[in-house]
Amino acid sequence: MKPMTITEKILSRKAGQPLYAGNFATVKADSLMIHDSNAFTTIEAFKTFEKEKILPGTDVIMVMDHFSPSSTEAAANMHIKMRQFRAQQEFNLYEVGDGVGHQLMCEQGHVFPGEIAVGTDSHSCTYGALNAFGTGIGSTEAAGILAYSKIWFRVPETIRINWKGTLPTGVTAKDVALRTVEKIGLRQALYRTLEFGGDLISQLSIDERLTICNMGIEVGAKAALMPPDSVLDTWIAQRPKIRKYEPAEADKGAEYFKVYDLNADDLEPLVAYPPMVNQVVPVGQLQGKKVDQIVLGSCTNGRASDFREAAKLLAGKRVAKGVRLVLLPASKVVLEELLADGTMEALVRAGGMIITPGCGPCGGYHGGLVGSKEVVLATTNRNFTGRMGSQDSELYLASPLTAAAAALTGIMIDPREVC
Amino acid sequence: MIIKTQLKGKVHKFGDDITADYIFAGKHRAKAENVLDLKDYVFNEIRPGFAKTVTQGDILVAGENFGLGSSREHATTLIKALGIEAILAKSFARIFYRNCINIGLPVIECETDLINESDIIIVDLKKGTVNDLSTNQSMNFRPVPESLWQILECGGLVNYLKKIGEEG
Repeated sequence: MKPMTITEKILSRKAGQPLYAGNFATVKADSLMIHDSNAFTTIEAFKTFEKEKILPGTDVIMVMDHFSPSSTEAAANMHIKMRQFRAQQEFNLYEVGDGVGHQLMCEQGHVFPGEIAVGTDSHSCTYGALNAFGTGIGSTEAAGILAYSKIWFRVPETIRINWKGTLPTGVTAKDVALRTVEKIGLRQALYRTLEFGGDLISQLSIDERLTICNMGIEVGAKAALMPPDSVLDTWIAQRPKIRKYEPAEADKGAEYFKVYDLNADDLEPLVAYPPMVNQVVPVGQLQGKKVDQIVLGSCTNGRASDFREAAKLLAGKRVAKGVRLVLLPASKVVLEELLADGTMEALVRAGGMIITPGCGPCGGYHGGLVGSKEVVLATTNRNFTGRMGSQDSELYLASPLTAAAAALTGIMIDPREVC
Repeated sequence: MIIKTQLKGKVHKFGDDITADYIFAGKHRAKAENVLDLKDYVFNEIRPGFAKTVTQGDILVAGENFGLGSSREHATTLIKALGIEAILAKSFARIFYRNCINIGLPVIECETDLINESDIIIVDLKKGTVNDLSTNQSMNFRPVPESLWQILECGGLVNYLKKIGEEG
């Protein structure tokens, strides 16, 4: 059989026939995540199918993460609608404060290697870190899966990205993600998949891999996949629920649209400047720029290891006068872990404010929107104009370490210069 | 047949890399339960007052990578609810493209540099032609693939899946 990319292998297995880039496939979705921003429309669309029950076979979760705790009366009513739907249907409902859907999908055992996992959120490509074909869909399509368990795909071409070398001190997975977005650009990966490989990836923890795959959509990619390995198996073994899984590796000789060889050895701490994620420079080039707010967390960089990185710089110190440090853990489990090991205490004593695990200010929902001319440095994934509040605010993206350095000094600064 | 194959409308022209956030910003979602009550916020951030300038049958025309970023279907639902009957762009972000097909809003990949704001154009979805009555220019495009046309023809994914049933 002709060699396959990871994407081709997963879709072929699920379709029960060999498929290559350009073929169409109708397959079962192994799991589906629906969050509160799209739940109302998904539930309404499901009703139009006139089906009494969700078709079993897909692991469905609904999550209250985008405006949670409810930011408006309408948000509260949308949450009520989700609870009412749960009373009639079988699926996992994650409540206010449980965390971001993507984190819960991975952490709580709803996504496994070799599976097809979709979500009503563009950052569903995050699941690729677990070797799953993860992709974002709309609410009508989510309703279609609730009714029929199936979804169609055109098998995408794959862009292979080999990351070699070792991360220098002060450089993190977020910098790898930002450099990847800069190299690929905003359009090259439209209707294509990213597949990562190279010896750097095998050195990374699952937390770090999740950060990189999370940003796959920022180049327009349909999915962003990483290969399976023993690090992944060990991580999966610690999930509260496990199902049998079949990882998918790329075959030697698989056909790629393009192959990139990138090296981490000379990577620096990076920043994406507004208004597009591919506008990336070493933070040193913006050194001295004053910041008003730091957002540390989100589905991109809101895991325990991210906060521990930041605490390395902030523990026992105080954030700069006039700087607001918003702490946004990706889930309640993450928050509890950070409470238990003292990391959160250190960050709060340093001046940080914990907000409810969820999406918070990332998409402009609540918990730290900014005003006119304010400058934000966030560890989130998008820096579009006005995304976190005012149309004339400025939003920069960087790693937890770079964010911590800015929190401490009040300016953008290379974290290697701060200790 | 729910969908019209020939459309005639006034153009609203946009540039490259228009994000789903610019079409309908996430920060407005929780202002009402029903998305259709949020029509006034469409393009609010980059073209305030846009909703009031649209009449039924108008056509959106854009450059590369239209609708990038968020998967929020509201961006497409609201464009359609305002009365826009088709979107022409040099390229689309994949989730946005898919969402349009799924709600029965025709999306066409087409060269758009020669089309101007407020031009009146005629689009033939089946023949793959655009005639700009304001400039007397015409362009060809590859019509929507047959498999997607079947979804559009039903008015969207819900009717399509109901029609083909469990075998889909």
